[in-house]
Amino acid sequence: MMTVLKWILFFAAALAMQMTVMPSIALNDTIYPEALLIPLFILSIEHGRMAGIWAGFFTGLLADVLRGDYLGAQALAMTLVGAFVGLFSKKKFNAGPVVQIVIMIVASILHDIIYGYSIGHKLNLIENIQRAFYTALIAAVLLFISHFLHLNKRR
Amino acid sequence: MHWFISYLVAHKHGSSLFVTVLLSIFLLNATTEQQKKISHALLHSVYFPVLKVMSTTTNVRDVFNENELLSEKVNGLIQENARLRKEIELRDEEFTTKKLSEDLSYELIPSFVVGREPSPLFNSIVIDVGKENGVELNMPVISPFGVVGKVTQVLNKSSLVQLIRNPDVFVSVHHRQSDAVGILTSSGSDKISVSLRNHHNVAVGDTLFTSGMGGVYPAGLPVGVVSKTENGDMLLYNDIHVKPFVDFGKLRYVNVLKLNARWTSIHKEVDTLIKEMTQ
Repeated sequence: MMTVLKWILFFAAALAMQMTVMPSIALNDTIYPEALLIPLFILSIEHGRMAGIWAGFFTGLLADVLRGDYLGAQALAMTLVGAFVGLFSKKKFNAGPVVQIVIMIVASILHDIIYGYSIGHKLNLIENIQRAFYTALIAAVLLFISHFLHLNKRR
Repeated sequence: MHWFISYLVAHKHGSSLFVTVLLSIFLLNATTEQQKKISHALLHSVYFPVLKVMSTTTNVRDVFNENELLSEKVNGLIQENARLRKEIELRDEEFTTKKLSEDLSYELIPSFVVGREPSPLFNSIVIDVGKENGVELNMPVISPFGVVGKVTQVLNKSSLVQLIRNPDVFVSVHHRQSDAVGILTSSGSDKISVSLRNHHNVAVGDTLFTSGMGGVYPAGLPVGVVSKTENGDMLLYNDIHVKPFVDFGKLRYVNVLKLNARWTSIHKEVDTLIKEMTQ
Protein backbone atom coordinates (compact mmCIF):
# COMPACT_ATOMS: atom_id res chain seq x y z
CA MET A 1 0.00 0.00 0.00
CA MET A 2 2.85 2.34 0.93
CA THR A 3 4.56 1.59 -2.39
CA VAL A 4 1.40 2.50 -4.31
CA LEU A 5 1.06 5.72 -2.32
CA LYS A 6 4.72 6.53 -2.93
CA TRP A 7 4.28 6.15 -6.70
CA ILE A 8 1.07 8.18 -6.70
CA LEU A 9 3.00 10.96 -5.00
CA PHE A 10 5.81 10.66 -7.56
CA PHE A 11 3.37 10.95 -10.44
CA ALA A 12 1.56 13.87 -8.80
CA ALA A 13 4.89 15.66 -8.33
CA ALA A 14 5.78 15.00 -11.97
CA LEU A 15 2.40 16.32 -13.10
CA ALA A 16 2.87 19.44 -10.98
CA MET A 17 6.33 19.89 -12.52
CA GLN A 18 4.90 19.41 -16.00
CA MET A 19 2.41 22.20 -15.33
CA THR A 20 4.74 24.64 -13.59
CA VAL A 21 8.47 24.14 -14.11
CA MET A 22 8.70 22.53 -17.55
CA PRO A 23 7.21 25.37 -19.64
CA SER A 24 9.74 27.75 -18.08
CA ILE A 25 12.73 25.58 -19.04
CA ALA A 26 11.52 24.99 -22.59
CA LEU A 27 13.99 25.44 -25.45
CA ASN A 28 12.60 27.62 -28.27
CA ASP A 29 9.24 27.47 -26.46
CA THR A 30 8.48 24.06 -28.03
CA ILE A 31 11.05 21.59 -26.74
CA TYR A 32 10.48 20.74 -23.13
CA PRO A 33 10.87 17.50 -21.20
CA GLU A 34 7.90 15.20 -20.64
CA ALA A 35 8.04 15.06 -16.85
CA LEU A 36 5.39 12.31 -16.65
CA LEU A 37 7.59 9.92 -18.61
CA ILE A 38 10.27 10.00 -15.91
CA PRO A 39 8.34 8.33 -13.06
CA LEU A 40 6.70 6.01 -15.60
CA PHE A 41 10.13 4.95 -16.85
CA ILE A 42 11.47 4.38 -13.32
CA LEU A 43 8.32 2.50 -12.26
CA SER A 44 8.42 0.21 -15.30
CA ILE A 45 12.11 -0.54 -14.73
CA GLU A 46 11.54 -1.23 -11.03
CA HIS A 47 8.24 -3.14 -11.15
CA GLY A 48 7.95 -4.56 -14.64
CA ARG A 49 5.60 -4.50 -17.60
CA MET A 50 2.26 -4.98 -15.82
CA ALA A 51 2.80 -1.99 -13.52
CA GLY A 52 4.14 0.04 -16.46
CA ILE A 53 1.05 -0.65 -18.61
CA TRP A 54 -1.53 0.30 -15.97
CA ALA A 55 0.42 3.24 -14.57
CA GLY A 56 0.97 4.49 -18.13
CA PHE A 57 -2.71 4.15 -18.94
CA PHE A 58 -3.98 5.96 -15.84
CA THR A 59 -1.32 8.68 -15.94
CA GLY A 60 -1.88 9.26 -19.64
CA LEU A 61 -5.63 9.36 -19.12
CA LEU A 62 -5.16 11.92 -16.34
CA ALA A 63 -2.98 14.06 -18.62
CA ASP A 64 -5.66 13.81 -21.33
CA VAL A 65 -8.43 14.75 -18.92
CA LEU A 66 -6.48 17.74 -17.63
CA ARG A 67 -5.55 18.85 -21.13
CA GLY A 68 -9.16 18.64 -22.19
CA ASP A 69 -8.68 17.46 -25.78
CA TYR A 70 -7.75 14.24 -27.62
CA LEU A 71 -8.98 12.02 -24.78
CA GLY A 72 -7.13 8.69 -25.00
CA ALA A 73 -4.09 9.89 -26.98
CA GLN A 74 -1.71 10.27 -24.04
CA ALA A 75 -3.26 7.17 -22.45
CA LEU A 76 -2.43 5.10 -25.54
CA ALA A 77 1.09 6.55 -25.89
CA MET A 78 2.00 6.12 -22.26
CA THR A 79 0.48 2.63 -22.04
CA LEU A 80 2.66 1.48 -24.92
CA VAL A 81 5.72 3.24 -23.46
CA GLY A 82 5.06 1.54 -20.09
CA ALA A 83 4.79 -1.81 -21.86
CA PHE A 84 7.98 -1.15 -23.86
CA VAL A 85 10.10 -0.03 -20.88
CA GLY A 86 8.69 -2.92 -18.84
CA LEU A 87 10.48 -5.29 -21.21
CA PHE A 88 13.75 -4.07 -19.67
CA SER A 89 12.66 -4.31 -16.04
CA LYS A 90 15.20 -5.21 -13.40
CA LYS A 91 13.56 -8.61 -12.93
CA LYS A 92 14.45 -9.66 -16.46
CA PHE A 93 17.21 -7.43 -17.67
CA ASN A 94 19.72 -5.75 -15.40
CA ALA A 95 20.47 -2.68 -17.49
CA GLY A 96 23.34 -0.36 -16.58
CA PRO A 97 22.89 3.41 -16.35
CA VAL A 98 23.95 4.06 -19.96
CA VAL A 99 21.55 1.45 -21.33
CA GLN A 100 18.79 2.89 -19.14
CA ILE A 101 19.36 6.33 -20.62
CA VAL A 102 19.26 4.87 -24.13
CA ILE A 103 15.97 3.10 -23.28
CA MET A 104 14.64 6.40 -21.92
CA ILE A 105 15.52 8.20 -25.16
CA VAL A 106 13.93 5.48 -27.31
CA ALA A 107 10.84 5.43 -25.05
CA SER A 108 10.49 9.19 -25.30
CA ILE A 109 10.74 9.13 -29.12
CA LEU A 110 8.22 6.25 -29.19
CA HIS A 111 5.86 8.25 -26.99
CA ASP A 112 6.07 11.30 -29.25
CA ILE A 113 5.48 9.23 -32.38
CA ILE A 114 2.43 7.42 -30.97
CA TYR A 115 0.98 10.58 -29.46
CA GLY A 116 1.56 12.58 -32.63
CA TYR A 117 0.02 9.82 -34.75
CA SER A 118 -3.01 9.57 -32.42
CA ILE A 119 -3.83 13.26 -32.65
CA GLY A 120 -3.03 13.42 -36.36
CA HIS A 121 0.07 15.60 -36.12
CA LYS A 122 2.80 15.51 -38.73
CA LEU A 123 5.90 13.65 -37.53
CA ASN A 124 8.78 16.00 -36.66
CA LEU A 125 11.57 13.58 -35.87
CA ILE A 126 14.23 16.21 -35.10
CA GLU A 127 12.01 17.92 -32.54
CA ASN A 128 11.07 14.51 -31.10
CA ILE A 129 14.71 13.52 -30.73
CA GLN A 130 15.57 16.85 -29.09
CA ARG A 131 12.70 16.45 -26.62
CA ALA A 132 13.73 12.84 -25.97
CA PHE A 133 17.29 13.87 -25.16
CA TYR A 134 16.06 16.67 -22.93
CA THR A 135 13.74 14.30 -21.04
CA ALA A 136 16.55 11.74 -20.77
CA LEU A 137 18.88 14.39 -19.40
CA ILE A 138 16.42 15.35 -16.65
CA ALA A 139 15.76 11.67 -15.93
CA ALA A 140 19.50 10.98 -15.75
CA VAL A 141 19.94 13.75 -13.18
CA LEU A 142 17.07 12.37 -11.11
CA LEU A 143 18.36 8.80 -11.41
CA PHE A 144 21.81 9.93 -10.36
CA ILE A 145 20.38 11.72 -7.31
CA SER A 146 18.25 8.68 -6.39
CA HIS A 147 21.26 6.36 -6.86
CA PHE A 148 23.38 8.63 -4.65
CA LEU A 149 20.68 8.74 -1.96
CA HIS A 150 20.40 4.91 -2.07
CA LEU A 151 24.14 4.53 -1.57
CA ASN A 152 24.09 6.86 1.43
CA LYS A 153 21.13 4.97 2.89
CA ARG A 154 22.97 1.64 2.61
CA ARG A 155 26.05 3.05 4.33
CA MET B 1 -16.06 -18.42 -18.59
CA HIS B 2 -13.59 -20.23 -16.40
CA TRP B 3 -11.21 -20.86 -19.28
CA PHE B 4 -11.38 -17.18 -20.24
CA ILE B 5 -10.35 -16.00 -16.75
CA SER B 6 -7.61 -18.64 -16.70
CA TYR B 7 -6.40 -17.37 -20.05
CA LEU B 8 -6.36 -13.76 -18.81
CA VAL B 9 -4.39 -14.71 -15.69
CA ALA B 10 -1.95 -16.76 -17.71
CA HIS B 11 -1.41 -13.93 -20.19
CA LYS B 12 -1.87 -11.00 -17.83
CA HIS B 13 0.67 -8.76 -19.56
CA GLY B 14 -0.79 -9.26 -22.99
CA SER B 15 -4.38 -8.97 -21.83
CA SER B 16 -3.62 -5.83 -19.76
CA LEU B 17 -2.01 -4.25 -22.79
CA PHE B 18 -4.91 -5.32 -24.99
CA VAL B 19 -7.53 -3.90 -22.60
CA THR B 20 -5.76 -0.57 -22.06
CA VAL B 21 -5.01 -0.07 -25.75
CA LEU B 22 -8.60 -0.95 -26.61
CA LEU B 23 -9.91 1.52 -24.03
CA SER B 24 -7.58 4.22 -25.33
CA ILE B 25 -8.70 3.69 -28.91
CA PHE B 26 -12.33 3.71 -27.78
CA LEU B 27 -11.76 7.03 -25.99
CA LEU B 28 -9.95 8.49 -28.99
CA ASN B 29 -12.79 7.56 -31.30
CA ALA B 30 -15.54 8.83 -29.04
CA THR B 31 -17.41 11.97 -30.07
CA THR B 32 -16.49 15.32 -28.49
CA GLU B 33 -19.67 15.23 -26.41
CA GLN B 34 -18.89 11.73 -25.14
CA GLN B 35 -15.29 12.70 -24.41
CA LYS B 36 -16.50 15.68 -22.36
CA LYS B 37 -18.85 13.46 -20.38
CA ILE B 38 -16.13 10.88 -19.72
CA SER B 39 -13.64 13.58 -18.70
CA HIS B 40 -16.17 15.10 -16.32
CA ALA B 41 -16.97 11.71 -14.81
CA LEU B 42 -13.28 10.82 -14.39
CA LEU B 43 -12.41 14.17 -12.86
CA HIS B 44 -15.14 13.84 -10.27
CA SER B 45 -14.43 10.24 -9.36
CA VAL B 46 -11.03 8.57 -9.95
CA TYR B 47 -9.03 11.74 -10.41
CA PHE B 48 -10.76 13.93 -7.85
CA PRO B 49 -7.84 13.92 -5.32
CA VAL B 50 -5.37 14.64 -8.12
CA LEU B 51 -7.59 17.46 -9.36
CA LYS B 52 -7.60 18.92 -5.87
CA VAL B 53 -3.79 18.81 -5.70
CA MET B 54 -3.53 20.31 -9.19
CA SER B 55 -5.87 23.19 -8.41
CA THR B 56 -3.79 23.95 -5.30
CA THR B 57 -0.61 23.91 -7.39
CA THR B 58 -2.22 26.20 -9.96
CA ASN B 59 -3.28 28.54 -7.18
CA VAL B 60 0.27 28.62 -5.85
CA ARG B 61 1.56 29.36 -9.35
CA ASP B 62 -1.04 32.12 -9.70
CA VAL B 63 0.13 33.59 -6.40
CA PHE B 64 3.71 33.71 -7.73
CA ASN B 65 2.55 35.31 -10.99
CA GLU B 66 0.42 37.79 -9.09
CA ASN B 67 3.38 38.60 -6.85
CA GLU B 68 5.55 39.32 -9.89
CA LEU B 69 2.84 41.49 -11.40
CA LEU B 70 2.40 43.42 -8.16
CA SER B 71 6.17 43.92 -7.81
CA GLU B 72 6.22 45.45 -11.30
CA LYS B 73 3.28 47.69 -10.41
CA VAL B 74 4.95 48.78 -7.16
CA ASN B 75 8.15 49.66 -9.04
CA GLY B 76 6.12 51.70 -11.52
CA LEU B 77 4.30 53.48 -8.71
CA ILE B 78 7.58 54.25 -6.90
CA GLN B 79 8.92 55.86 -10.08
CA GLU B 80 5.71 57.81 -10.61
CA ASN B 81 5.74 58.91 -6.97
CA ALA B 82 9.33 60.18 -7.30
CA ARG B 83 8.43 62.06 -10.48
CA LEU B 84 5.37 63.67 -8.90
CA ARG B 85 7.34 64.61 -5.78
CA LYS B 86 9.93 66.33 -7.94
CA GLU B 87 7.18 68.13 -9.84
CA ILE B 88 5.60 69.32 -6.59
CA GLU B 89 9.00 70.45 -5.30
CA LEU B 90 9.64 72.43 -8.47
CA ARG B 91 6.18 73.99 -8.33
CA ASP B 92 6.74 74.93 -4.69
CA GLU B 93 10.07 76.51 -5.59
CA GLU B 94 8.49 78.37 -8.50
CA PHE B 95 5.72 79.60 -6.22
CA THR B 96 8.20 80.73 -3.55
CA THR B 97 10.30 82.44 -6.21
CA LYS B 98 7.26 84.29 -7.49
CA LYS B 99 6.52 85.44 -3.96
CA LEU B 100 10.18 86.34 -3.46
CA SER B 101 10.26 88.47 -6.61
CA GLU B 102 7.17 90.35 -5.39
CA ASP B 103 8.81 90.92 -2.00
CA LEU B 104 12.21 91.88 -3.35
CA SER B 105 11.18 94.38 -6.02
CA TYR B 106 14.18 93.34 -8.14
CA GLU B 107 13.95 91.76 -11.51
CA LEU B 108 14.74 88.04 -11.29
CA ILE B 109 16.14 85.77 -13.97
CA PRO B 110 14.91 82.27 -13.17
CA SER B 111 17.23 79.41 -14.06
CA PHE B 112 17.92 75.74 -13.56
CA VAL B 113 21.15 74.33 -12.19
CA VAL B 114 22.63 72.31 -15.04
CA GLY B 115 26.03 71.38 -13.65
CA ARG B 116 28.31 71.36 -10.69
CA GLU B 117 31.71 70.12 -9.62
CA PRO B 118 31.81 66.38 -9.05
CA SER B 119 33.20 66.65 -5.51
CA PRO B 120 30.78 66.46 -2.57
CA LEU B 121 31.90 69.89 -1.30
CA PHE B 122 31.52 71.64 -4.63
CA ASN B 123 32.09 75.39 -4.63
CA SER B 124 30.46 76.41 -7.88
CA ILE B 125 27.50 75.54 -10.08
CA VAL B 126 26.54 76.12 -13.70
CA ILE B 127 23.15 77.62 -14.51
CA ASP B 128 21.28 77.63 -17.82
CA VAL B 129 21.07 81.39 -18.33
CA GLY B 130 23.75 83.68 -19.75
CA LYS B 131 24.37 86.87 -21.66
CA GLU B 132 21.36 86.26 -23.91
CA ASN B 133 19.14 86.36 -20.84
CA GLY B 134 20.70 89.53 -19.45
CA VAL B 135 23.07 87.92 -16.96
CA GLU B 136 26.23 89.90 -16.17
CA LEU B 137 29.30 89.37 -14.06
CA ASN B 138 28.95 89.62 -10.27
CA MET B 139 25.17 89.48 -10.27
CA PRO B 140 23.90 87.93 -7.03
CA VAL B 141 22.25 84.55 -7.21
CA ILE B 142 19.57 83.56 -4.73
CA SER B 143 17.25 80.65 -4.14
CA PRO B 144 13.82 80.83 -2.50
CA PHE B 145 15.59 80.09 0.80
CA GLY B 146 18.43 82.59 0.70
CA VAL B 147 21.70 83.69 -0.85
CA VAL B 148 23.43 81.17 -3.12
CA GLY B 149 26.44 83.07 -4.47
CA LYS B 150 27.43 85.35 -7.35
CA VAL B 151 28.01 85.01 -11.08
CA THR B 152 31.72 84.78 -11.88
CA GLN B 153 31.68 83.76 -15.55
CA VAL B 154 29.10 84.48 -18.21
CA LEU B 155 28.71 82.71 -21.51
CA ASN B 156 25.93 83.20 -24.03
CA LYS B 157 23.57 80.58 -22.64
CA SER B 158 25.10 79.59 -19.32
CA SER B 159 26.90 81.07 -16.36
CA LEU B 160 29.20 79.93 -13.59
CA VAL B 161 28.11 80.76 -10.07
CA GLN B 162 30.49 80.74 -7.10
CA LEU B 163 28.69 79.62 -3.98
CA ILE B 164 28.97 81.48 -0.68
CA ARG B 165 30.87 78.53 0.72
CA ASN B 166 33.65 79.15 -1.81
CA PRO B 167 36.73 80.49 0.08
CA ASP B 168 37.09 83.21 -2.61
CA VAL B 169 33.64 84.61 -1.93
CA PHE B 170 33.18 87.12 0.87
CA VAL B 171 29.71 88.23 1.88
CA SER B 172 29.05 91.14 4.16
CA VAL B 173 26.42 90.03 6.68
CA HIS B 174 24.29 91.86 9.17
CA HIS B 175 23.09 90.64 12.59
CA ARG B 176 19.90 92.61 13.12
CA GLN B 177 19.51 92.07 16.88
CA SER B 178 22.93 93.59 17.67
CA ASP B 179 23.30 95.63 14.48
CA ALA B 180 26.71 94.01 13.99
CA VAL B 181 28.24 93.69 10.54
CA GLY B 182 30.91 91.17 9.58
CA ILE B 183 32.41 89.35 6.63
CA LEU B 184 31.25 85.80 6.04
CA THR B 185 34.15 83.56 5.09
CA SER B 186 34.58 79.89 4.31
CA SER B 187 37.56 77.72 5.06
CA GLY B 188 36.88 75.57 2.02
CA SER B 189 35.38 72.82 4.10
CA ASP B 190 31.79 72.81 5.22
CA LYS B 191 32.57 75.48 7.81
CA ILE B 192 31.22 78.96 7.10
CA SER B 193 31.81 81.57 9.78
CA VAL B 194 31.92 85.23 10.57
CA SER B 195 34.02 87.02 13.18
CA LEU B 196 32.11 89.53 15.30
CA ARG B 197 33.20 91.57 18.29
CA ASN B 198 32.42 89.64 21.46
CA HIS B 199 30.36 92.41 23.02
CA HIS B 200 27.71 91.80 20.37
CA ASN B 201 25.11 89.53 21.79
CA VAL B 202 24.86 86.82 19.12
CA ALA B 203 22.92 83.67 20.02
CA VAL B 204 22.53 80.31 18.35
CA GLY B 205 19.47 80.40 16.11
CA ASP B 206 19.78 84.07 15.13
CA THR B 207 19.44 84.84 11.44
CA LEU B 208 22.08 86.67 9.44
CA PHE B 209 21.14 88.83 6.45
CA THR B 210 23.19 90.51 3.76
CA SER B 211 24.22 93.97 4.90
CA GLY B 212 24.16 95.64 1.51
CA MET B 213 27.81 96.61 1.90
CA GLY B 214 30.41 95.14 -0.40
CA GLY B 215 28.60 96.14 -3.55
CA VAL B 216 27.35 92.78 -4.77
CA TYR B 217 24.38 91.70 -2.63
CA PRO B 218 21.53 94.04 -1.78
CA ALA B 219 20.67 94.43 1.92
CA GLY B 220 18.20 92.16 3.66
CA LEU B 221 18.66 88.82 1.87
CA PRO B 222 18.65 85.89 4.31
CA VAL B 223 22.03 84.13 4.43
CA GLY B 224 21.93 81.60 7.22
CA VAL B 225 21.38 80.84 10.84
CA VAL B 226 23.91 80.93 13.68
CA SER B 227 24.72 77.33 14.55
CA LYS B 228 27.53 77.81 17.09
CA THR B 229 29.49 80.58 18.76
CA GLU B 230 33.00 80.19 20.18
CA ASN B 231 35.96 82.30 21.19
CA GLY B 232 37.92 83.33 18.16
CA ASP B 233 41.67 83.39 17.57
CA MET B 234 41.67 87.10 18.26
CA LEU B 235 40.95 88.11 21.86
CA LEU B 236 38.10 90.53 21.25
CA TYR B 237 36.29 88.51 18.58
CA ASN B 238 33.91 85.60 18.63
CA ASP B 239 33.85 83.02 15.88
CA ILE B 240 30.21 82.69 14.75
CA HIS B 241 29.46 79.51 12.79
CA VAL B 242 26.75 79.92 10.20
CA LYS B 243 24.55 77.27 8.65
CA PRO B 244 23.36 78.55 5.25
CA PHE B 245 19.64 78.43 4.56
CA VAL B 246 20.36 76.99 1.15
CA ASP B 247 21.00 73.26 0.94
CA PHE B 248 23.58 73.35 -1.86
CA GLY B 249 23.32 69.59 -2.43
CA LYS B 250 19.63 69.89 -3.37
CA LEU B 251 19.91 73.05 -5.39
CA ARG B 252 18.05 72.79 -8.71
CA TYR B 253 16.27 76.08 -9.21
CA VAL B 254 17.90 79.49 -8.62
CA ASN B 255 17.32 83.12 -9.56
CA VAL B 256 19.79 85.68 -10.73
CA LEU B 257 19.09 89.15 -9.34
CA LYS B 258 19.28 91.58 -12.22
CA LEU B 259 21.39 94.01 -10.23
CA ASN B 260 24.74 95.34 -11.33
CA ALA B 261 27.47 95.48 -8.75
CA ARG B 262 27.67 98.98 -7.37
CA TRP B 263 31.43 99.22 -7.76
CA THR B 264 31.00 99.02 -11.55
CA SER B 265 29.75 102.61 -11.60
CA ILE B 266 32.47 103.69 -9.11
CA HIS B 267 35.09 102.03 -11.33
CA LYS B 268 33.72 103.91 -14.35
CA GLU B 269 33.88 107.21 -12.44
CA VAL B 270 37.44 106.51 -11.26
CA ASP B 271 38.45 105.58 -14.82
CA THR B 272 36.94 108.84 -16.16
CA LEU B 273 38.76 110.84 -13.48
CA ILE B 274 42.08 109.16 -14.28
CA LYS B 275 41.56 109.85 -17.99
CA GLU B 276 40.76 113.53 -17.28
CA MET B 277 43.82 113.82 -15.04
CA THR B 278 46.16 112.31 -17.62
CA GLN B 279 44.82 114.54 -20.36
